Amino acid sequence: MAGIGFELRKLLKRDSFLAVLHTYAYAGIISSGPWVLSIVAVLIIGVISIPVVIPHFLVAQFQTSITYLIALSLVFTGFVQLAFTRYSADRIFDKEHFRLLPNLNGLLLLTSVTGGTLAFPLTLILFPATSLVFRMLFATTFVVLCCVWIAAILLSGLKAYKAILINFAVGYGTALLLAIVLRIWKLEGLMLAFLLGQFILLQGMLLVLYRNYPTRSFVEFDFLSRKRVYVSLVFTGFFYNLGIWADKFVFWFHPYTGTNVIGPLNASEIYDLPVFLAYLSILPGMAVFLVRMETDFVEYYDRFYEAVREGGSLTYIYEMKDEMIRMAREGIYDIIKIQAIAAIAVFLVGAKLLDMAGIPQVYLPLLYIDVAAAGFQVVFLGVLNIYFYLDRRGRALFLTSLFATLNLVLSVVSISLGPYFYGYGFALSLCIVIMCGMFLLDRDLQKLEYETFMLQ
Amino acid sequence: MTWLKLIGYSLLGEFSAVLALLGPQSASLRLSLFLSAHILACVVLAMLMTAAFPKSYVVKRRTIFGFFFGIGFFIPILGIIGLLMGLFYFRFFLKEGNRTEFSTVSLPPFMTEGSETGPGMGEGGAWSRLKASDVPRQLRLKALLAVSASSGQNASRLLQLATGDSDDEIRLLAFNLYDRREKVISNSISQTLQALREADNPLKRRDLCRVLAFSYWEVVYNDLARDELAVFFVRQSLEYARQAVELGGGSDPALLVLMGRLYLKQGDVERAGEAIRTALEHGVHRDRVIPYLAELAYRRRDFEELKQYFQSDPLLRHKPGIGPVVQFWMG
Amino acid sequence: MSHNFPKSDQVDIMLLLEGTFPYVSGGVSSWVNQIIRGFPDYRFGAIFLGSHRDDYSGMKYELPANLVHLEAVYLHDPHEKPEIEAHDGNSSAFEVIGRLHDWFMAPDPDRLENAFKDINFYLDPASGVDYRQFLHSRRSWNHITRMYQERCSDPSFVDYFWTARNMHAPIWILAGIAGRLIPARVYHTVSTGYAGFLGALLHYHTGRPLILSEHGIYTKERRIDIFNSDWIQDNRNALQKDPTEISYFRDLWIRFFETLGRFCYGSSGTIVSLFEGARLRQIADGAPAEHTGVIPNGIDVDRYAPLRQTRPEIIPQVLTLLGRVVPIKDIKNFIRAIRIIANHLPQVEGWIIGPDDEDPKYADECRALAESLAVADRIKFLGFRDPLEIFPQTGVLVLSSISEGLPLVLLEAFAAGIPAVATDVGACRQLILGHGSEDEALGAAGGVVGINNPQALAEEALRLLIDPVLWKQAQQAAVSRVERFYTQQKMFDSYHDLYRKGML
Repeated sequence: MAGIGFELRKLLKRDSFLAVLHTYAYAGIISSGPWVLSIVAVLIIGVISIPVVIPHFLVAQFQTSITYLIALSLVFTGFVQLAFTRYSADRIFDKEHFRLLPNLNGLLLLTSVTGGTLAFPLTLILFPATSLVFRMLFATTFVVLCCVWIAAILLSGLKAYKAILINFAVGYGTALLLAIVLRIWKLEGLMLAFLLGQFILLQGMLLVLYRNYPTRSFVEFDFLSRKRVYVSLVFTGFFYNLGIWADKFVFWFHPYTGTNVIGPLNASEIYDLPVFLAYLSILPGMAVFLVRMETDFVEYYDRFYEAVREGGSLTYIYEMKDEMIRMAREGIYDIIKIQAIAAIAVFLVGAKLLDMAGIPQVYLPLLYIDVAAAGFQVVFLGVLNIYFYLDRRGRALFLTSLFATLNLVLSVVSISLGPYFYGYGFALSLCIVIMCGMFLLDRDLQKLEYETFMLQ
Repeated sequence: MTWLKLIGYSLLGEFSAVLALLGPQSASLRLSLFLSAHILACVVLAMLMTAAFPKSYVVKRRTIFGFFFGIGFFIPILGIIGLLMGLFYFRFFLKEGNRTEFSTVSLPPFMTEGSETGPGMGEGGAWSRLKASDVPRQLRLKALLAVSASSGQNASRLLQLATGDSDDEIRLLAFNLYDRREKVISNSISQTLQALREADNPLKRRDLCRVLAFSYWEVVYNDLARDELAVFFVRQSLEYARQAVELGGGSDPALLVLMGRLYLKQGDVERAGEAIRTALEHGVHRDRVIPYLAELAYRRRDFEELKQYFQSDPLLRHKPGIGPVVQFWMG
Repeated sequence: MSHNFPKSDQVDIMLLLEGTFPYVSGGVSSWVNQIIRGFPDYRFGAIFLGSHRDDYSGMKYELPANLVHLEAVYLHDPHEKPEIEAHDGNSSAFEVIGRLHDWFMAPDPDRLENAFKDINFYLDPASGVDYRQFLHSRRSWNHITRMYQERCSDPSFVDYFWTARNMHAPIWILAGIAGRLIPARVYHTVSTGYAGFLGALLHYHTGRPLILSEHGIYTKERRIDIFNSDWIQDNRNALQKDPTEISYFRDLWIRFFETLGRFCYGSSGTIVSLFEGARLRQIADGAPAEHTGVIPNGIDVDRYAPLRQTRPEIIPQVLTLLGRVVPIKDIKNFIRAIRIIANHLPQVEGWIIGPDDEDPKYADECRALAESLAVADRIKFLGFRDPLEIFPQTGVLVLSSISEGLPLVLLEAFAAGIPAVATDVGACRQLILGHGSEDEALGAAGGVVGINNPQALAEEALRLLIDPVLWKQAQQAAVSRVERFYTQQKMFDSYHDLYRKGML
């Protein structure tokens, strides 16, 4: 699987405007595909089920359950997301490709056991009003989702974005089709359809991994060994995922904004829909992020470190670093620019969109601010990514934990300030973190050679 | 067959466990039924799968069993199905072996640093610097290094001269450089000798003897051996050349020319002439051997023949080495 | 290993030994051993400076009883590094360092800043540049990059950076040692280089005198090493490379050692060399002439004298070379000389007495050469043997080295009544032909030839082997010379004087 940067560069080389458009579209699809697919699939399942499933609130229960499952599984696997990506990158660098699969299996086992041990008892206890089958399905889906994210992490660490996309498409597509058949079983049927879709998705990704990577043993726990695990990354991953969902949890569980849907799960009528629509608008930003980071920035990043290691002259080292900084800056500015355009587009047609979706116009301001905030999130991702490349894990941990804390606190504050301020907590927390991040990045990049050589 | 049956039964057990969840009994009863059937099925299936797992991947059976059981237990039914699919794949479809990873290589950077080239120096410059003992040491060291970059007799002579220098460092560097040249040929000679000892067929021995003849000559030619040592090397070279001829190399023109030169060095005019003539018969280009024929004529004091040889090649007067000689004789 | 080291809290004479006694066998180490045992009433201490712990397989000498304190420090082993932390560094101290690097361009022993003589410059973070600042401070980085941009002609920055670091890191380690070493009344170092630097620091720190006995010229030997070594990079590509320009890094190392040498010379109270030629070389390298002096090595003549009686009547047709099988001893030309002699004396044999495991590649080359010259049957690599056993069977001792100091093996052979043929390196000429009218009047103890000249070597050796009268004359000269000028007692007396004056 050739690196995605390589492919993108190939596309860009054809040097016409259409080629550039093509590249960005491609990047957009592969970077955002999975997100978009899951949001769209869940929405569509909801839509097609409404005529068949009676009473209608079961559909809402289904959608809320899935949302929570995704959120909780993402936060739960957050602990291992970054750490495992780093682990696999290290093994690839050491040319120990044969370690990837066994350790993936080990991690899957660890996650399934811990996730299952938490999920099954909790589900059984906390959902007394639901059927046993529902509870089993819920808990099983949680475990399977955790496995899906982990397999997806490894695949994206190997830059096999196409494989991820295809599998997501197949998985969610199957879920959709099965939903059509199984919706007669109401809530449990929909849950089962989703679960089977996820299962197929998981198997597909595992097949891709097994086929392409050699292995010498089957299960290994090397990733847990002290000298191979980076504790800072464990917490960074957790805080990053927590940060993304923090404002949603606040709105769900705050008495002013949340209502109970099923078991202990709440939803927020006002808050949920605009936020999820806003996430659909980050497609262009993600495309730019992928293209700029993986091609331009990485190119000069590689050259810089190669010059350092392989005996380049100091002038050349400085030049490569300057280029690297330039690419980083331009990349981030481009993300900002494109998201601004997307935001403006949404501002222009937002009212009409809400109309078409049957949502009251009162949500419009929330939609606007959410689009802005989602754009900020992509910029934040860009900044974090640069820090990961520079291996400044302390900085990344600081920024993500700051983000999680701010999002939580400011969202609560925004609720108490009134409906016009809804969504500003999310946006403001991201804004602050981005400012912080860029300021620190500037200073860190200035001292890069000093730190590379002297502070080894 | 029992395998499949066992698997079939356990799967059945698993399904029934799930079905138990759908029954009309109380929740806790259903749950306990499910749990017991599920655990049993998982254990059995895990054991079966562990046993069926291809041996080459097994490091510790317990870990593999733990893996199968864990996944199977926490993902009811689907876990087992997934694991079975994986096992199936592993057993029948997986090819072991290392993948070569390709990586793209970037262009080397254009270097702007240190591009000034120092003053070059030829052999003549080096000679004059080395002979002048009041030139500073740095320059003389540079002269030595310049010489070592070229090859040939003059370089060896220069290095030999420098080994008698009054300055310690010049001596040592010159010795070092001289030794490096000499080492290459010496090593080659000893390796060839070794091969010769081990050679089994006459053709191989002929070739090896030929190589040895040329190698010994090369030492003499490059002025890496002098006086009595040179005499020894010439003798050795001749010895091996003769052996090569005896083993069937008699029609090798280069070898014959070599023998001619060796005899000439020894002063054996007759044999030298014979060798050169045989070489001409076997197709060596006349121009190549004119200097030697001329020398032979000179030794015989036949100056007319000498001039004839020189006349036959008008370009000879411009060649290095023999050129001045031709100019002397031909005017 | 270190629990075998004797420890004390005060010594009379502290020896500073780089790469010699007790872990490396050789001429200098044997000399150190001899000196310690020669003064049983003095308490000696020794600090061994090595490169990596793994490079040494064990002590090659039994420790004398009066060596009451021993330490070993490995300069290139990873030492405890200070914690990594970004900081600026001491600006005034770095200015001093800047001036030092300018001084390198035109070294003048009187103008060396006094700051460098104070060990606090290296140890005190407030007033000087300590190890931590050297490794991690911003000013250190600025200094290195400035030096690179101004001076370095090799494009690779990473190589420059690491060369600079590796070269200088031992300095701080040595300063640390100087600060904590047990007190001594006299410091005695047997080479310049890092040991010399340590000696200088100790002298300035404690005020006790430093004696330097140079056995080989350190910088010269490092130069030879460096010329031969592959480990110094040359990163210029084919277009940039001028083959006459020695790689910048080689130059850098050489200049560094030269500077260390000057620093040591400037701080030594007495600078001893083995022979006049070496003394002149020291002066040329910056040693103040009024502090220099010659004390040749001496041997225990009585140990070898009996061998004169046990010799056979006729001269054995054996030429012996006593030395390690390494390129500096030039075994190859010895072999070539044997080839030439064999043409005249069919019975002649060449014996090589010395370990051949130090440079196995070279040993193989020698054997290959013997084969290609068809003398493999007369060249015998006998490994390490007791000279007492070998001398009676030897006709003439041969020393074909390309570089020597004052080879003890010549003196030993003379004491045993064997003439020698040697190359004109180091003190060989003065040993064989004499130095000064009184010495020269004793006659020639053999022959002296130029290096890399097997023909001349063969001729001289042949002359001695076939002419018993000449041989007897040479033997006479040899014995008188060694008994007159090179006895152990003479050497001990000279050093006794030095030590006594130093301990006042």
